[in-house]
Amino acid sequence: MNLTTTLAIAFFSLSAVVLLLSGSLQILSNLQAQQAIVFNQQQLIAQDASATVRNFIQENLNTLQTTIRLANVTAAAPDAQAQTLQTMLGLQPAFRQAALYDAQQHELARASRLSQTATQLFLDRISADVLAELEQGNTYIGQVYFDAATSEPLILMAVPLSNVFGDFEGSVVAEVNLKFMWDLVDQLSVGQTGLAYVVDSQGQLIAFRDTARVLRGENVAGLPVVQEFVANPAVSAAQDSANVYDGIDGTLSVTTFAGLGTPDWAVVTELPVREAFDSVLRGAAVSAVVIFVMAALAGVGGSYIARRLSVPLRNLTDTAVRIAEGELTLEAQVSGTQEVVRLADAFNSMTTQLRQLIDNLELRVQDRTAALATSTDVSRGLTAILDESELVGAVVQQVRDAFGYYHVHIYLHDETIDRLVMAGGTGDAGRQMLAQGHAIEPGLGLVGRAAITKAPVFVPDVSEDAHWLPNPLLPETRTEAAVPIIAAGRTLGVLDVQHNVAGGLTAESVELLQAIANQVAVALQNARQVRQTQESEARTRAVLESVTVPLLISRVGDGQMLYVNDQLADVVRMPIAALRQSGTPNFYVDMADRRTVVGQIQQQGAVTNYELRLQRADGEQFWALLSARLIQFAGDPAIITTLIDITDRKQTEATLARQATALAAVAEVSTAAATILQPDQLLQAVVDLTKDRFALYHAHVFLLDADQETLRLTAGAGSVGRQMVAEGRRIPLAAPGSLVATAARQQQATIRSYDTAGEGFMPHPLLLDTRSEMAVPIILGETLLGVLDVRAVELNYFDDADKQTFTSLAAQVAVALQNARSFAQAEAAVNRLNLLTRRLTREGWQDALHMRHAAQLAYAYAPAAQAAERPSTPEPAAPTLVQPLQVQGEQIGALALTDPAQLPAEAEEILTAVSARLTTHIENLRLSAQTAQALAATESLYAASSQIIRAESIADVLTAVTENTRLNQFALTTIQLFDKPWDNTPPNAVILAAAHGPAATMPLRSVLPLSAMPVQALMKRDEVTIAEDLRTDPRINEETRHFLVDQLHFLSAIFFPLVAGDQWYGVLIANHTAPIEISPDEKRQFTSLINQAAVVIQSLRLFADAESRARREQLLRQVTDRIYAAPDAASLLQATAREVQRVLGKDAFVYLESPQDHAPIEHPAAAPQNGRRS
Amino acid sequence: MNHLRRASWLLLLTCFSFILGSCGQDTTPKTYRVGVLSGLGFIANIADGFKDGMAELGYVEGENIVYDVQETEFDIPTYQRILQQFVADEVDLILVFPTEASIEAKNATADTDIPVVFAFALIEGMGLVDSVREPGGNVTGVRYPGPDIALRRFEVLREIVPDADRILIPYQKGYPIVQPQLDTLYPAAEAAGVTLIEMPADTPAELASLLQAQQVNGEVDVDAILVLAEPLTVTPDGFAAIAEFSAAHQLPFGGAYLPTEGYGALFGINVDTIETGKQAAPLADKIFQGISPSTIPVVSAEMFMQIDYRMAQELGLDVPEGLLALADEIIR
Repeated sequence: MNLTTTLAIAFFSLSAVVLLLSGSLQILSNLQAQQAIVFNQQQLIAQDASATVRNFIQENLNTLQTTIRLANVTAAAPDAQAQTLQTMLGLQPAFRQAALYDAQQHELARASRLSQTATQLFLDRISADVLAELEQGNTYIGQVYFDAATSEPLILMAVPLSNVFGDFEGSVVAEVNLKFMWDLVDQLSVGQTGLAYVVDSQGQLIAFRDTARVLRGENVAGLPVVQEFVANPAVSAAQDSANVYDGIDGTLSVTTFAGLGTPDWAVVTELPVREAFDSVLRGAAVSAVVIFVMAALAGVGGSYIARRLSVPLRNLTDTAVRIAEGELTLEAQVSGTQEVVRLADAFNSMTTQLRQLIDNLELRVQDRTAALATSTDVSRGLTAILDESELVGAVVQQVRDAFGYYHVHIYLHDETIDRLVMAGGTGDAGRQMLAQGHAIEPGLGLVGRAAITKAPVFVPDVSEDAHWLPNPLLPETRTEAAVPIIAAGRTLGVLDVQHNVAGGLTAESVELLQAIANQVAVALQNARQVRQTQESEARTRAVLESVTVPLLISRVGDGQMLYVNDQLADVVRMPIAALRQSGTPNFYVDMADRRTVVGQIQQQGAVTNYELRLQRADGEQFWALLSARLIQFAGDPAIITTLIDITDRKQTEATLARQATALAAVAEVSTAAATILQPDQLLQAVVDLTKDRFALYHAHVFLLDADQETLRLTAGAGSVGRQMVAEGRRIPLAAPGSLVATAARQQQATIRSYDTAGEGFMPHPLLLDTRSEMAVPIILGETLLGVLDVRAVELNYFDDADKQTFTSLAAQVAVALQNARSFAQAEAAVNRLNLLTRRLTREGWQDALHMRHAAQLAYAYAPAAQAAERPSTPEPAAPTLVQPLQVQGEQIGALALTDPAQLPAEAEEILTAVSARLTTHIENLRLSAQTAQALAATESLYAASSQIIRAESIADVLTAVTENTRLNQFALTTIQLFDKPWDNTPPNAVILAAAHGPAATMPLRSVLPLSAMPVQALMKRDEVTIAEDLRTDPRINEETRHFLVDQLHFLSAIFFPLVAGDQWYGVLIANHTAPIEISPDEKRQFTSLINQAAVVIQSLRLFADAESRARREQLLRQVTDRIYAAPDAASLLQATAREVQRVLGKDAFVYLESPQDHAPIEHPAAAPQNGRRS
Repeated sequence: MNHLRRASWLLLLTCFSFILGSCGQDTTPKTYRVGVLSGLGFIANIADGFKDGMAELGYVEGENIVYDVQETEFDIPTYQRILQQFVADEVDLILVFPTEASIEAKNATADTDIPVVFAFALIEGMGLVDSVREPGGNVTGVRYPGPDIALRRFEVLREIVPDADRILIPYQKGYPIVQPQLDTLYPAAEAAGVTLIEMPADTPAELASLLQAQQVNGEVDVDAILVLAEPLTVTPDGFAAIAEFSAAHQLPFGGAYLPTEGYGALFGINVDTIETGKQAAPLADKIFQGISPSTIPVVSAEMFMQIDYRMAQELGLDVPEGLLALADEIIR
């Protein structure tokens, strides 16, 4: 703020304050006067209203007393009393009702303008208390109340009656309408906006223009003016004339009141302040305007005066500012008041002195600047030189050339010999001294002293210094200075300068030389550090290039790639040059992984073996094992990162997991299937479990009808499947586009995927989301039973592994289905037989009961029964009557009687009938025995099947097969597996996987070349080979026969091929020491069981193989993790050797070869043995 | 003095607000427009009483208040048309009477801010107000004390004719305010042992016909006739029919007093329509002062009693002196 403004404000403020004070006092005076006037006016209004109300009350009381006294009412007759009351009501309109009481408070008469109902309410209000008050001779005025129908204010008034002696004779009570008072309050005019109201001694509002507030019974005792009245109801008027309070409507008002006396009510008046002090406020407004105008005029005048005072000072200030900005030749204008003129003179004198001082300083600065520029040039040239000897040579030469010195040289401190060795010097003298390896002991001469004291040593004139030692190679030296080259407090060397001109070196020259020496110190340090760094880098790079793991090193500061090896470039498919040019490329698929990696590095300094998904430069994603660590590289903080592509491992793990899950699911489904004997329930359980355990979209089973031409949907998973079964879906076996029919025709699993609905895709409306489908034939032996059809919602969901899995599953389902069918057939046969037996027995007994000689026939029956039970019993001698027993034309025996002469005539007829019955019964018994035998075989087969499915090893499978079949009688039963499936080319060897029987002596896992197997010619892929008698079997040669019969004592053998899916992978061979005979049924049962065993064995093999691979992968991963966790090259090599030894159980060592000479550059690392290196 | 100093400072502080406030103050007095619906001819002077009352309160017609007085007889559609016009004209207040017109006014202004002051309106059972003390909505007014008047008429008739045990009550058939009066009368009649004989009729002619049908061989089986507060018996023809019938059979007849040439009634109790209008004026004034009509209590019209002493003497009836003392007017 400038001086003019300040002075103007000061004038304005001063004037305004003075005027405001005087104006305020005037207004205050007017205000007090006006307030007194308003208060008096209010008081008059309130008193006037109060008098009016009081008069109204008094008038009514007077009327009441006068009427009663004049009429001498207590002595009058009842009619006269009522008439008097009615007359009184007629005289005073405010009276609504009246009642007369005697001295004993008995009602004598009453009168009313209203109906009787209203009269009763009036009488109810006259309580004993009221009458008791009157009995004391007092006039009574009650509280205000309101009529329920009209809301009008009412009050009870009563006066006592007494005779001439003053004795109490009764009383008269009247109900008075106070509506008059309301009208009065309404009509009261308190200014323009003022108001009045009436309150009783408790502050109860009893009259106000807003009658709703009155009727609500509002109490306004909280208002200050009412408080004043309530505190002293006897007071006739407000004492304080300045009652400015919030009024009944919340408006700031001048308030007062006037008491009525009797009753103890008060009329309160309020006049809003704004109206009450309207004239004062208007006067104040005018005063304010005047004050403002006057103050403004004062401000203008002050501004003019201030301007006259401030102009010379402002000119002087401007001049000072311009001089400060550099216009040193400027002079201030000398004018204005006396004080200002003196100030201007002094200012001009000061400016002249300042100008002279600056000129001197500029000359010195120019000299100094030139020297510094030279020094800077020298120093700048040094910073680019990183070779120490080159640096020293350049320094001495440049210093000498720049300053024209006679000689310059530098000594460097060799810590190994603790000498200052000359490293470079100018001219011939310098070269000679350098060639001589000139060195100085610290402390000797100028150079030695400078090194020891770490301070410049300056000899301005060598001729005057007794301690100065001349150098024969430098005879012209007249002055010399030695300045130490110091870095980090350590003396690196000494810069020595000599001049052949006396006084050619000054103290300032020494300072300059010290500055140069300091620069040289820095440059020397840089050069040495660069050399160390280069050496370190060379070592590090050699280590890095020996690492075959994909690796990169990036600088922390800017992410710049400092090192990338070829392996990493191959992994990310990006040229090394491109990688180095870019910052850290973003290979992360999920940025959350990046945050995790960075976070761990920041918190722990390293991240180890972090598995994550990355993407290559071409966008392909892959799994990687990432390890990273903070290191120092090339002098900067950096991150060394290794990336191992573990996609194959992850895929393998996933595949293994999926296969394991699938095999577990197959086992579960097969187990469930094996425990269900009803075919329909079995298939339903199969599809439900298949869908659930394999997490498929759908699964269902088609069975081939008896006509062998149609596949009928028999079971479907879930409600959808059941609905489709209910629809009776069928597919012709010859349907060309059907995947199910194709799989059935080709008898092999078939897969199809559907990008969109296309050929062959026959979507059911309930299976529209199908995107992958696989149909697997259910085959038992060579018989197609049906097709298992499974579906998924993902494209290309099924693969060859699934084919194998589901083929295995379908094979087990086939066996279970066949077992269930056989069981059902057997049960049906037994049922039929039982029915036949029961029928025969019943008929026989019925016939017997009808025969007349039941006792004799019964006797005759017993031998027959014995004969039937003992068929070897000799026939009775001399039979006279023989009845042959024939079944379907074949005689199976005879029924003979020994004494035919005693037989009655009809005996032959009876004998024929009995023989017929006997024949039938015998046949039935035979059939029953056969069926029971078949059932026992089926149950045995079923038990074997269940045991096979639950088998956990190949040995268990063989045990299940042998213990439940006749093979348990064989001397040796073995399972032998091929080293490869027998397809177009035979395997090379067979491995003994399991053996059973007393002749099982060969150790398991024995490997035998196939060519060494004498019976290989008998092994066929598609059929069981039975050699019932090896002694005569023409299919084997004599050598084999000799081996088997003579050496091993086997006389018979059975060869069961083990085929699963389309792979023939082994053989089950059973050898017996006696010839055998195998019925077709038995052969079929054996085939069924062995087929199921083949599937289970294949599953076990696959599972074992998967487990083996999983263990291998896990082992490899552990080794890899431990190797990659090594923090440096040495640890890496050591860890590698140790893990190889641990895994393989062999001693191992690793070493790296130098790329140049193939010599090891690191100490060879070997696995420690017994805690020490070897 | 403390109060004075405090008040002074308060005034100083409000001084500047006053200056600013007075700059934009509109000092032009407002002219109120009042729509008056006079819905029944014989009480049309309620409007005159209202104007007088407003004048006493400082409202000068033509200066700060103007009236749009619409007179009609009982006709609901006409009521509705007039009221719609008032609403369209956005009048500041509507004065309306009698009961039916008041109900229509309340309905017509339900969605507006126009206040309604009714007069000569029965409120019991009409739904016109929520309560006497707080009417609610946008209405208040002067209540016609119909049941009170009916009961008082019955009591006065019984006071003048104590032997009247069968009383004939003619009235306008279907007129809404009749039933509340009958509801009030029947308990009192039962208590007094009096039988009320209702005679509803649509027109004076029908009334005359019904009265004629009442006589049998020149005799009638009633002791007196009492008229209620309703329109049929106070129309000249209706009143004349009853007066002729009562004169012909020397029957005391009272309730409403309508001086008609040659006929009269024994007594009449009613409200003074001029006073009723005046009673409505303060209500309008309060509304103009900013008080919501919903909080302005309904006031009751004052009853006014006339006794035809001459007719009582002609009929040989003694009128108690006390009753005469209570009468506002005695015709001799």
